[in-house]
Amino acid sequence: MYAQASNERLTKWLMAAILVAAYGFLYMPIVHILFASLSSRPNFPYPPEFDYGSYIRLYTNTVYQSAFLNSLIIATCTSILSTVLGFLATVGVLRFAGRKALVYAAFFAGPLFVSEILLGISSMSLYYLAFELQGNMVTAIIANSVHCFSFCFLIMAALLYRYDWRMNEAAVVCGASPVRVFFEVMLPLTWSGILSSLIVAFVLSLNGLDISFYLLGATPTMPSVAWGALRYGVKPELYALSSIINILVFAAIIVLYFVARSDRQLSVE
Amino acid sequence: MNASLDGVATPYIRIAGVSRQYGQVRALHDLSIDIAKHEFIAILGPSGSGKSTLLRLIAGLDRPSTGRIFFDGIDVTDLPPYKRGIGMVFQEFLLFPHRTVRENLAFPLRMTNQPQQKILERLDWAEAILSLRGLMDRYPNQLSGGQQQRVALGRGLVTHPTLLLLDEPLANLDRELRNEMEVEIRRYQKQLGIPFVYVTHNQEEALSMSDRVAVINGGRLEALGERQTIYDHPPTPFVARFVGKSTRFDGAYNPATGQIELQHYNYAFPYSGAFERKGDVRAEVFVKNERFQLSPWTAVATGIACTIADIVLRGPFVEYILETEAAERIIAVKPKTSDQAVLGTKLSLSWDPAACHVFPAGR
Amino acid sequence: MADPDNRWNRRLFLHVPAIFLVLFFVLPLIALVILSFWQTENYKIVREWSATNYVTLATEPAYFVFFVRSLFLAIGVSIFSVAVSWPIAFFIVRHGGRYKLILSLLLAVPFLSGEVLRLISLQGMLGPTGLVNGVLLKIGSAPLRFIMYSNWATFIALVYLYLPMVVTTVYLSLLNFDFRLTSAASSCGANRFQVFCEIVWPLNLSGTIVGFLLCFIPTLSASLAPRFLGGPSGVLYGMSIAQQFGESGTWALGAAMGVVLFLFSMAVLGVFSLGIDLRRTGFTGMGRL
Repeated sequence: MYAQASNERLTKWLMAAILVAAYGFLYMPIVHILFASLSSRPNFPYPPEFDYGSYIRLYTNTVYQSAFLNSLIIATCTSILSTVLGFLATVGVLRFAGRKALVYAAFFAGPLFVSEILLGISSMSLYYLAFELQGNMVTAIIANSVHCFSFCFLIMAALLYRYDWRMNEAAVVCGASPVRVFFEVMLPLTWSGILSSLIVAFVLSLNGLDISFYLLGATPTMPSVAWGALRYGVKPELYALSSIINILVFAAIIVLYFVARSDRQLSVE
Repeated sequence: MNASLDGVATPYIRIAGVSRQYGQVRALHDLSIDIAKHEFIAILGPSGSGKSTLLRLIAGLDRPSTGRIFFDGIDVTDLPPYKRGIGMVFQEFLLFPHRTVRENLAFPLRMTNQPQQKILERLDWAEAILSLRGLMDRYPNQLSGGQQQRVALGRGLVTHPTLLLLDEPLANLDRELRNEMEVEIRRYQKQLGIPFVYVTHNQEEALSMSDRVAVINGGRLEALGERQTIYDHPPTPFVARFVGKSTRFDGAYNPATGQIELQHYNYAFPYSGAFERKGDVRAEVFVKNERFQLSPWTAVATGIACTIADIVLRGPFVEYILETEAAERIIAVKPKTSDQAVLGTKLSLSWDPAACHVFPAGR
Repeated sequence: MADPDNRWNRRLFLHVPAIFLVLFFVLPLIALVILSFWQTENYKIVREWSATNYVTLATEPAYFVFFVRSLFLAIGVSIFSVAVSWPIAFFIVRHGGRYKLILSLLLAVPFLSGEVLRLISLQGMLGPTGLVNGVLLKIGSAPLRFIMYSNWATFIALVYLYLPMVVTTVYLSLLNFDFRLTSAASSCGANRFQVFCEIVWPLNLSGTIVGFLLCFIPTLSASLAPRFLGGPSGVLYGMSIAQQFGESGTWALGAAMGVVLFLFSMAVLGVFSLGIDLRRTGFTGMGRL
């Protein structure tokens, strides 16, 4: 007689099981290499130890140092450039595009549907053909920004979609200039979307290999050095590097979580 | 609290002692209602009173914690919604956005595996009765609010359901359209001869359409009865406050004179009802705004002294906003007459003792 | 519409990003097409127009094999990911409650940590000295061969790389889905199966297809995962492109391969977007305009 209810419960638990399995699948490698990086026996680091030798070796390795610095520069510039462009594009599509909104939105999301390797080799072709230019940091930043731009656009569009544009008009009527409207009304209401976009673009370009690979030539970045080292077998230093980045990304996600939560409180008001 | 059948011979829909608990929260508390076959019943209550929960229980979208629900003598408490043969209309219409009007209307017929011939027949019927001609191949977002409302109604009625449940279906329409639809919906109900259960927080809607009104508050049944009875003889202070527009006064019963004496005003009126407790018992007095009597102030006047602060014209009625000596504002509604009242005129306000509702309020 | 303010706004907000994309996204793709019609000899570009590269691609069976292998792998990975994503996303949306946000954000950690680092993590699991085989050896069993240097390893790696993306897309689609429509459908007499087939699935189809494509397109051109985990018989198309631009220095041929890949991706995109009537997936237009 309660067949329907028990059926429902069964599906619910089945879905929960798949969810747990997927999280396990996604997180087990991350946790495993964290243990491996902290162990003197990286192949089978159980029970876990706390041996930070590999971190010290990583820290004293000058190749990784300069690679990390390069990656940081690329990631910072990329996140700012792609967020600014993404913000313009979002406002443009939601507010000024009128009937062509869908066309513009499809165009701005376009880079998502072109794989990173194609972005890399095509940018490389352009710079080489047009300017006989070897890759450098600027071209790498630009190419990364194209890729991240679409993510930024989608993230901000999702959050700004609910923004009531009459709020700007209300502020203008109250005597605010467009610049002040942005800083006093729009920014406080949309900062969570902008910050999310900055974080995602930063992390994506910090870790992306394909694009930088073709556009940087000999300039080392963190993923390219890791990739180079990977070809000669996995060393505990790589586990250490990977663990550090994973922890950074995890911290970024926690920040995103609180940003999104505070945003929800704002919208409840 | 068990409601009487109020002259219903054989209950067609029987809701017997139904409760619903969500964790710690009691949404419905031991509620029983019987509904007759040709009846239009309105479930009236403020938001959060549990009226929508009750509707979801009848529909089978939710399951009662205790109690049973019967349709035509059959226990349907454990049946899923799709086996109950009901129709339902939602406040937000909830038309399927990816289907045309025709497909939306055909949906319940297809779900119940009707033959093609029958589907076409029923679609023609719905198209005619709801005047949807020319709209059948549009998508819901191409329709106006009123048109969407008619399609939603059609989707609820197209299968000839056992009963039709309506969850505040007019709340999203503007006033004029709402009045028009009230008449329409009542006409459909009389035509089809199936019970309509109509949930609303709008007492005007409840009174204008239904045969009987059930007032729900805090998950409990406050009152159930003919709409006229509920309006003229509210059984509880809540109903008196919620149904119709009335003004509340605090007063006390004086057993020596057999009168109710108001607290802030020098006004008393005879009271023939019984107060259970002896002594000086406080009372709540409710007077419907249209039941006030106004007369020019004279030296011998016995009513509440007040002046006209403002006059609001409402078509055939006039609302006098009166300011009393105690600086309270009272609204009195009168039919519009051609003679002009002047702002600031002093009046005497009183009422027929039989037309007000008195409830003991404890000490 | 004719007011000058609006024109300047359009220029700033729409045209600046659009010009940026034209310069650095469209123009490079055109350059790739041009390059594909030139030749490379001894690591130098020879600016001679001919279709030689395309002829090579069409006649050399190896490239066809790489492409078909990539295609099958991409289809398999994408379908598998979509099939797994639905129950996960559905569970988070319906039963996630107050943990909804954190559950969905946690999916992004593996996605954001980058392909190389994730491959390193995976190698730690699946490699010859990885956890899985380590455990198997400990309990005295033979190591699992099929998860090392094989197409299965690539399959697992690609699912690992792109599952978060698909789950997130399906999740967002379901999050914006009005679940009250399911109540409406069941009050119309639809059972749970019918509610899913008639309402939930069609109204989330476009989101699901976007998720499928966001997995399909990068896996079709995957180059890192197969190179690292795929083993000798696992050469894929994207990997071969990377080789043309890397070790072998045959850029023009690589460009031609890239053009083919791009055209194929666009064709898939086109088939999906033409095959879908937006109205039938409940699309009601952009914004509140």
